[in-house]
Amino acid sequence: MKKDKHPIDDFFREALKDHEVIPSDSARADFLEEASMFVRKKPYLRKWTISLSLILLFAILGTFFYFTFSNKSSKAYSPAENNPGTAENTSTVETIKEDGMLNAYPEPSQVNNLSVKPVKVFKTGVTMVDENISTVRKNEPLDEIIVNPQTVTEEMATESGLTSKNPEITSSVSDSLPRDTLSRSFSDLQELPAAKPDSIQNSIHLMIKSGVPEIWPEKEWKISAGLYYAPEWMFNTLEGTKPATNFGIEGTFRIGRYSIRTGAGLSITKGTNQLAIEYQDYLGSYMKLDSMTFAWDKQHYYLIPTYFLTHQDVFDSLMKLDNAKVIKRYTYLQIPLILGYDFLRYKKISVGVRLGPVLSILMASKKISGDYDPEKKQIISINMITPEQINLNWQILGGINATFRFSRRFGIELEPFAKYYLNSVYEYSGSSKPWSIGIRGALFISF
Amino acid sequence: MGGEVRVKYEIESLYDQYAPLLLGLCKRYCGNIEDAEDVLHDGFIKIIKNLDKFQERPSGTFIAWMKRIMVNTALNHIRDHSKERNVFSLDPYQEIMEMPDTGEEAPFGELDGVFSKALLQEMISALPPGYRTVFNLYVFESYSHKDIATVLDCSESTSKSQLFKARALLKKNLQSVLNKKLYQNEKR
Repeated sequence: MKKDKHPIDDFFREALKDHEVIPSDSARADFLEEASMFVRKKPYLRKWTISLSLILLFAILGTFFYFTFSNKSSKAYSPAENNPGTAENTSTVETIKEDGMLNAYPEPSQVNNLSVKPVKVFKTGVTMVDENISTVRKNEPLDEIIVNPQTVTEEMATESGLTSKNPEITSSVSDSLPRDTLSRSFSDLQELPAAKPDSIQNSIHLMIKSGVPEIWPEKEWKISAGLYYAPEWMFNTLEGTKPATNFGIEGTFRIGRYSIRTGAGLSITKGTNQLAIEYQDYLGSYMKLDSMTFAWDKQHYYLIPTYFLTHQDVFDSLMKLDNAKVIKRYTYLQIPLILGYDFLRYKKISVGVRLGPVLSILMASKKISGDYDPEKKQIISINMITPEQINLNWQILGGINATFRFSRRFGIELEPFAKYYLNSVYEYSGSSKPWSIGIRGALFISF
Repeated sequence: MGGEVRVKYEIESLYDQYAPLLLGLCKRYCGNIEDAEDVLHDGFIKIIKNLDKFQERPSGTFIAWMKRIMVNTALNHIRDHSKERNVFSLDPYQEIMEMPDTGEEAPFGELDGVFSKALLQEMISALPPGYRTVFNLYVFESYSHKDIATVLDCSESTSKSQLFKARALLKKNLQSVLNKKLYQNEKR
């Protein structure tokens, strides 16, 4: 669209093109103060965020590797890995294969001559079954026991009737053992080659539970409930950075790797309601005459006046501006609906992503600072520089969840998260929408 | 810490270098120095916050970018205060409508030096907010009436009439100042 030229326009444009007005010292000082706060805040926040992220990352990775390698190290004690012939009996309790362990226990008479030393057997259970399989004696599940091979073999032999009751088997046992193994210490037993299963089927049944990590029987679905606490820092608000505290109860429904979480919690935050108040100063008061009446005093020939007055305040005509801050505490009810997917799942730890909406409903707001007192001033207008917070707000939450299970039922969750507010947190504002970061910690119980 | 000091020094230098020019711009929009300084403050904070965005994708000159931010901040400020201040009130200057605008009798180009910049600035500041905003956007920011209508959420005809009235009022004020000066010169 072509613009019409006008001499006044050109005159003013040319005259004021480079016109400068020097800002006042107070304006300069105010700006530099705020700018310096901004400069200070930024690296601090960045450092803080990076530090927190690194700590979390290392915690998650450390836990992950700890559990992974501890599982592998316990596998090293498993006869299953070193003895292919007994591979079957390492995986389940039900499968009892006696041959491997029969190999493991040398003949008592020969053992007596050996210099054997006690060895540690980790996460191992020993089960002995008599020859008729009528009674089963199960040793207590052992996390760590000291086994003296000599004692064990003698006892076993005696208890099982290996030497007295069934000499045939005793001999078959001794025959089945390679001679060179007898000179080896008991700690090397797991490395012995497997014996043939048919050689000892009717004698001692021995089972060693391997050190393979115990896998808890998992249901297809699982429900858990818990308590959570989540500090949060909001950014891009009219008040700058402001903290919020969230806590509540929640329930999670899991199907395999997927989960859905909901609950109810409270979010508590402080808000500064900044007001710009235009007022006129109070100067004083006077009694304004509304009307007057007269009565005639006949005796004294005198008019008796009656005045009708009202009290009137006088205000300055000059308009002044005042700033006031009212600090309030806002309590929101938070209802999340968070969907999850665990991309890493182990016995005691799982790591996954979480994403979903959160609804916040204002429950209460309480003034925790004094209200603005206008005294006797005449208020002309009150403008909200920082308005009150909104009654209803939607956020979208995304986070990385790490779940640590202490036992089948109990566990904790750590979840660093970020939230984006889909609408402003203020009742009316042209400001952009805030976002926040936080970390959620939860204690849960599974059913 | 050294970096922080350096950044603070750079901000200070930036402010000292550009604040006077930008405050002149703000005052044209706001009409009074208090509001202008508020706008300058907010605008400069935005500039500092978004400095990296400009460095990533520079669009035009740095000063033009800063001016754009200041104009937007000033418009937001005016919009926020428009309700209580009645930006587009026509009542106080209704009589100006009746003044004929020939547009040629004042050779303003020849008046350089007669009017000080401060006086001209005051004349613009003295305009009612509606006139002032439209005049500033049209004359100094080269907005079209269509753009002004979009920015101020009014009709194009409103923008045109506001500009017309602003010019008329400025012309009247210029004329009166000029007459006063001529009278003083004759008296001497």
